[in-house]
Amino acid sequence: MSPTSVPALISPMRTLVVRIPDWSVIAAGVKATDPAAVIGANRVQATSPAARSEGVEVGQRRREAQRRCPSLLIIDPDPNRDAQAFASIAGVLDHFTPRIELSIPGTIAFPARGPSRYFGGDEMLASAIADAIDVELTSMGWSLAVGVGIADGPFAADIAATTAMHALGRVCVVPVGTSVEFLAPLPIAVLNFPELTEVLVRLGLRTVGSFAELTSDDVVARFGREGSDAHRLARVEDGVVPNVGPPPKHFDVTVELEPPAERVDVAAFAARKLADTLHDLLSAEGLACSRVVIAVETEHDELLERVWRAEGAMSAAAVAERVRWQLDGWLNGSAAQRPTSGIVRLTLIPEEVIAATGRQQGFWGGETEADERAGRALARVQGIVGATAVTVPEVRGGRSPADRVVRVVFTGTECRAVRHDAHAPWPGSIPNPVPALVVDDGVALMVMDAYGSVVTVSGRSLLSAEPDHVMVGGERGSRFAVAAWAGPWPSDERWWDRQTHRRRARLQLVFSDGRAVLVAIEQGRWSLEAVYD
Amino acid sequence: MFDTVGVVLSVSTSQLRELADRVKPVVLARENVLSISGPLAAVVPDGSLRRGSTLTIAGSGATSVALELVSGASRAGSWTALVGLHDVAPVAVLEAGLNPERVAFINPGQSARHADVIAALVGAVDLIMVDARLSLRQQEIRRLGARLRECGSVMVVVMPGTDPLTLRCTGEIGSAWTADVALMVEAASWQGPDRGHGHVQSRRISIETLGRGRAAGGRRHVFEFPSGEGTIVSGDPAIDASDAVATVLPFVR
Repeated sequence: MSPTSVPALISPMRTLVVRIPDWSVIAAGVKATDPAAVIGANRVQATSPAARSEGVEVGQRRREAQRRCPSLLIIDPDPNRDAQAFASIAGVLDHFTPRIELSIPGTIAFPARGPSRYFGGDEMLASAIADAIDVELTSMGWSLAVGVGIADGPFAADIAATTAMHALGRVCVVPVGTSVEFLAPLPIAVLNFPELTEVLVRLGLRTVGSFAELTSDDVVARFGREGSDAHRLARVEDGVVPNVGPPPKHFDVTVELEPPAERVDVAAFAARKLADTLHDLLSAEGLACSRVVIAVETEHDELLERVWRAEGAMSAAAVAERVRWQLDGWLNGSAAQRPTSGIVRLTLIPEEVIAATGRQQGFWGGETEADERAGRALARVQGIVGATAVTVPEVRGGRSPADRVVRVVFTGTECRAVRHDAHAPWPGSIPNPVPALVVDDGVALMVMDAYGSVVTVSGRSLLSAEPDHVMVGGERGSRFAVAAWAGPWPSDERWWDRQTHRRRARLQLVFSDGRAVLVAIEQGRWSLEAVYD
Repeated sequence: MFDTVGVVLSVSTSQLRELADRVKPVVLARENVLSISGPLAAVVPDGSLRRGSTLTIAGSGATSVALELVSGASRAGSWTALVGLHDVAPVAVLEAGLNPERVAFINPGQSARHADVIAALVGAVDLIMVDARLSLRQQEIRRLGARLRECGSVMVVVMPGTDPLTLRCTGEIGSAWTADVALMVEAASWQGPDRGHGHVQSRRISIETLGRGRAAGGRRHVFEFPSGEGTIVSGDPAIDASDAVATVLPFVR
């Protein structure tokens, strides 16, 4: 049975997708000609064209990327920055259609049927939009960074936009009713269900078409819900998920802000509670939200509205995060789009709900109820002391104790991915045990020899004299006698880069009272690096 | 049709006992605990952290001891928050064996809302490690203690042994912090470095336990922490490596 002979229940919605794959690099303010990459959890998440031409690819490890391109500028991921800057791109599309839908910063989707009639056909609409966004991106120093695709259903349109991007054609329009054939020859991995597609490849189903040819009964029986979701994408039946419809009006939740919120954190804090209310309302009915309209009203009666969509059900935290991104975009965006006064009312309208199947807890751990509780508590703490005050550890690897594990700002328990592959040998690193206390910007001290002059380390890593005591706080500060010492461990870091090059030598000192510290000398100046507590 | 006779469940009795403990209908306060793994369990009454209780740890080596005490519960799935304690090395937290996916560092800054921050965590985060240097009023601490008992989190108040800014030894924990169990760590000299060679490897610590209720009485335990192999060995390894050497001290209030 060929896939096309299966009549779809309802023809999937004609959709236009705009994709800017390098968005998180663009949002960081980097030029297209600079090699740069966004690296989070030790993996490359996005690259600039210059970095790609050096061989840096998405999914690579940090060290591999740096090996291929030593001058690579590394950018930390920041969804807030991405979303805030994206408001200017989303604003461009307001001239084409009243309603756009954002899923992640860098991707916009909207139903294409109405606008394409107005603009004289799919091709005309797509190229007009590509031109408009190109103008906006060129002003940021980027060209040829956008792909526009039109096809039946959001998934096929998304693939079409990616295809357009790779073919450097900017625009790819798949004629009505041919989206199944368009997807059929593509490798199965484009479905983006990594675990499932790995199994399918082993079963000999290497293309989307061969998977689409299976009957849905068989797929559901063998692969369950995940399989059925993937199958629906392969057959371009997405967007017509059964039981989808606008929910009854009473699910809208609104909060009045008194005094009006001018700052994002004030509004976002209210939004978080609102998202929880919405989540509770829906889950009481056994529903979950997959598309939400965020609407705000300002003191001057301005109405701003934006739709956010996610694949599958959004948790309360996910909704709150989308709201924060959007508020950030509005309140900190360009002057043309910024509301002229504070926000007095914030409304969340669940536009599309699906049956809440409950989130399955991961088979090998994963998200649990305790994680969700902890996530909410940490978010509350962020509300009290500011977002950057709550951090979580990320393993990076390095020589000094402060480099090996760094703290990154907490963004939610869902998107945690900590890699444990940083245990590769680092020449020049200090042997275990690790010191319990580290000092971020080294406290200055002086390591003295028995005659009262400062100990130095020569270019060949030899001490000028045996350390005898340490002075902290200048000549008349406290004095600590040294009972034993070890080292020095020289380290010559990033010698290929003049700006970040550091040449240091480290020394372990044991004081006569038994405590041990790690001190470092750099350009003749000693500083405290860590304490073995 | 299905041959089940040969199937042997690969579950040990201890695992079954643990499961039975978890599902039984009545849980005594003494049994509602977060477990401590490793030899350091000996320093705390019943060898575990009772939910709702407060521990204080001070002295040279306090940071490592505190991290080691909470690591077992963290590995078992509990969340840990470090409030203040900005100088505690994230790498030490991970090396102590805490689950990196369930650790959060909170920098409460200079804000006067330290108690609010901790109160927000109580009940949601099982292990709250609090910097003894934070300024909390006695009344706030008492209120937090009541909330802890109600919600079942454990608060571990830590005074790192050395002040990194002056390199001086820190003093004892302020009297405002009331504790169910108070641990005083004393570390002997670090072993390993000589005059120029070797590296920091091991040290002997002794932990004195004081406190209320079952912790009253006062006990002292000696450990090799870390030992040369990076593990913890209780007692004097030269005498007996398997048994903790515990001496009962008179408790003077």
